[in-house]
Formats: sequence, C-alpha cells, structure tokens
Amino acid sequence: MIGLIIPAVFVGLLFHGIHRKVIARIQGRPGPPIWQEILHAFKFSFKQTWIPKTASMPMYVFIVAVSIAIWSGAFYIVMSGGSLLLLFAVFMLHKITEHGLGLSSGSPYGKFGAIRSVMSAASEIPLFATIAGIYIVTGSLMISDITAYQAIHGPLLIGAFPIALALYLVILSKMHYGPFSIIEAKEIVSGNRTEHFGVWRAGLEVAYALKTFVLLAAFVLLFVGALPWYLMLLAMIVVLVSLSFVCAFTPMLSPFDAVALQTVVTGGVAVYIVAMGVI
Amino acid sequence: MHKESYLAITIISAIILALASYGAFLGVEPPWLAVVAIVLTFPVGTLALFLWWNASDKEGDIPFTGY
Repeated sequence: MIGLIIPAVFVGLLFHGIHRKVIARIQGRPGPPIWQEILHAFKFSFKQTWIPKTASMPMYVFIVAVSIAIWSGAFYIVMSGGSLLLLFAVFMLHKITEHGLGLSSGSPYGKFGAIRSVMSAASEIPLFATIAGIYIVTGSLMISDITAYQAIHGPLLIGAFPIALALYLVILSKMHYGPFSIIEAKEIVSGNRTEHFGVWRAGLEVAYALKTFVLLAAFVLLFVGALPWYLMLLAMIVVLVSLSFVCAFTPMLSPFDAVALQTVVTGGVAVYIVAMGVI
Repeated sequence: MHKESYLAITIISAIILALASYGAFLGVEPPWLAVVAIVLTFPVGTLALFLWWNASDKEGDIPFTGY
C-alpha cells in the first residue's frame, strides 16, 4: 500500500510542475522544467530548518504532519472507492490545517492567510452541491458504486454536467496561482505558508502533491468513471491542463468576489438539483 | 534532537510502513488497519527523513532570529 502513496507524491509534484509550465507557456514565458516542483521539495528538505520564536511550536510542527496525514487518508479513500462523505470530511480538515498553518507561526502574513482561509470557506459549498447532486443521480455516495453506475449509464460529466462544474470549481479553488488562491496571494508574501520554510515546507509540498493527485483522481472517477491506470493519468492531465488554462487567463479575485462567485455557482447547482428532483 | 534520533525514527517508521503494507498484502490484517498505520506513520517518517538528512553533525552559524 505504501508502494502506491510514494509514486502518488511524485506524480502530484510532477502535476504541479506541469501546471506551472502550462501557465508560463500561455503567458509567453519559458517557465520552469516540469520536474521543478520535485526539485523544490528536495531543495526545501535540505534547507536550514528551525522554529521561529513567535511560533506556537507544537502546532507549527504538528500541522504539517496533519496535512500529510489527511491527504494520505484521502488517497486511500479515493483509491479504494470509499465514501464521498469521508472525502468531504478530509476537505473540512484541510480547511482547519490551512487556518492552523497561518496562525501557528505568529507571522502577520500567515495570519492574513489564515483569515482569508476562513473567509474562503465558501469554496467548500460547491462540494455540498456536488455530493447532494451525485447522490440524487446515482443513489449512492460510495465512489465504487458511482463508477459502477457510470459503467452502465455513461459518464456523469455528460449526464450531470452542472454537478461536474461545481466540483471543478472546488478543485480550481485549491490550485496554486488560481483565481481563488487568495490565501497565498503575493501581497501577503506566501500567505499562510510564509513562515513554514525548510523541512516544514518540504512536508507541505508532499501534502499538497497528494492533495492535487487525490482531487484530480476523484474528479475523473466521479465524472468519467473507472479507467485503466494510464488512461486515468491521461484524463487527470487533461483536467489539470484545463485548470492551468483557467489559472493563466484569470486574475486573482478579491476575497469578497471569490466568495460571491463560489456562492453563485452553488446556488446555480442547487437550482439544478431541485429542478432535477422535481422533474 | 540529534541526527541519530531522526534516523532511528525514520527506520522505525519505514519498518512499520513495510509491515503494514505487507500484512495487508498477505491478508493477515484487515485493510483498514494498514491504512490507519500508514496514515499515522507516513507523515512522521517523511518529516523524520527530511530532518535526518537536514541535520548537521557540526556546529552551524547562529541564524538571525529578529530584533
């Protein structure tokens, strides 16, 4: 089982590199090589590491371990065809780690990132709509049942497009350099990650690589269906590149606009679900 | 902690991870137990590994920690 999670970390880091490369090419820059994020993770792990004086030491260290742990758990939930509700719980825990990450260091930039993380909790609301919509369509919240449903009835990407759009927005809100990346905006240095350097940042890179892998895999499984591993990876890259296009073309929204847009999309999906239920 | 302590934690974590994975593969333990063991041990092992190869054997510079 551990033989799956380590390759997933490297693939996730490679996805981050592809994301940066695509954004750079769209913006007319050469961009870094696609393996740059793998090198980044190793680089940070060799950097001098200590704990800032202003930090709450147990939380500062523990939050990095928790970040890796929750996305390791999410990886097994998705790969074993587990419950969407558990994946939703991981999302909630991720929000707590984002918040704790910023608060634990004592840095004002980190705290700004943490506060923005709370404000952007609206990014999880489309996930409510996704889960409710998928349950209404397929009658189950188990990922294995949902993929079995698609094997008979065809991909939900076509059959329930607005629900797919809602989850796409959730994943977009978690991508680096995206329109909703307000918690790590450059005007607050690196936001909630500002004071996590060296080994701690390398640990976060591992956690976020797993997060990207899990979210893309979940999207493909939920809306395209179960595929052989090579087609699965290909489908994940297609979704990733589309997200990179959105990130490259869209400026970062203000915190209030980010929340408003996510709420409007959720409202739209809610109307779709109600209409579907009524019909 | 000393460099040797980080190495010890890394090795212990690696042994637990290997046993959990192998045990689940052989079917001698329920899969959920292996997942719980991996979720709890993988972060500790990863951070200990990074801290082990990051730790120096000799005295380093005293970093600037602010006014």
